[in-house]
Amino acid sequence: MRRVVLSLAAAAVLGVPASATAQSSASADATVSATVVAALTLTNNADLDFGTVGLNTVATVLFTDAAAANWTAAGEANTPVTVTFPASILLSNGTDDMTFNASMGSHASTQASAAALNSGDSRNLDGAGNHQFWLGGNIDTSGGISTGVYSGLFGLTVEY
Amino acid sequence: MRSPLFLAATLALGTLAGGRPLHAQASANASTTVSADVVTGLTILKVADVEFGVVPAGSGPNVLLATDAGAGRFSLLGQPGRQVTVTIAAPAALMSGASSIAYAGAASVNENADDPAAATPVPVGPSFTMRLRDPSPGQNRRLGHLYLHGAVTVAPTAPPGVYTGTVTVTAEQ
Repeated sequence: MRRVVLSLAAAAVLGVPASATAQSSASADATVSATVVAALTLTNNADLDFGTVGLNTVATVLFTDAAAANWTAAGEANTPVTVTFPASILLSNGTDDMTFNASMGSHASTQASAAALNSGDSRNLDGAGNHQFWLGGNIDTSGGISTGVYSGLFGLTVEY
Repeated sequence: MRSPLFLAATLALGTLAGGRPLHAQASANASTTVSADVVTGLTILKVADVEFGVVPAGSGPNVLLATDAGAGRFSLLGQPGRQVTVTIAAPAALMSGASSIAYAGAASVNENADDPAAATPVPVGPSFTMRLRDPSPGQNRRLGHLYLHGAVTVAPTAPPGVYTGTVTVTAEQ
């Protein structure tokens, strides 16, 4: 207490202003939220096999055909997922390449009822948290390519 | 030879401390300056909550940037150019009933404009200072902008649901 009094007195005599510090304060809240859903899985159940195709032929597999590739997506029930895939990929026999043009369809469970799907489209997982995807497409064996087994990896991505 | 200033101080100290003055005088006069630092009120406005959106169980860190649509936003409105001390209190976890997911809060500020892309990182927890420099149309006050973001990490066993928490921003000028 003595120290305070002395300081004030000295300030008065020496002409130092004794200032009052005005303060103003405020606060506000924000809510942070995250919606946790079941982890999303994508299982490849079947590959796409064109079988034997002659040279100089355009071969087509529909996404409703038995030869179509198939995936099952599983996750949070009744939740939308966004699907992305390439429009085409190259198949190779180690010597030559040829283009595979993709055609994708999907349905909750039934291949025959699958509807065409474009990359970037959204589909809802069903009440059990599932959705099925089927891949068809075409290849053109013309252009002087060599014979052999042509293959390539086609990637499908689903995300919430 | 002591200076007149020293003598004046000595006189005043003696009087206030209850002692007698060293020299008797008929009258004495001293003045002081009284000042008050009047400031305009400080206001914090929450513009947007923090929304991480959908995060799968077993994922993370799911990072939300200041420039992302789900980032939280606050506007601070107060005295032009004045230094403001800000404290951000954030929880370490978001809760859904008894379940939790880890939350690492992050924040950044822009003193000059509402532009999260040009914001500077600031700490969450410890206080920091900023100035309000962004002109507020029609007012003699200035804005500062604060953005909340961060990351959530979700354990594989976390039950689905909406997890929430509260972040409090306190400012003083």
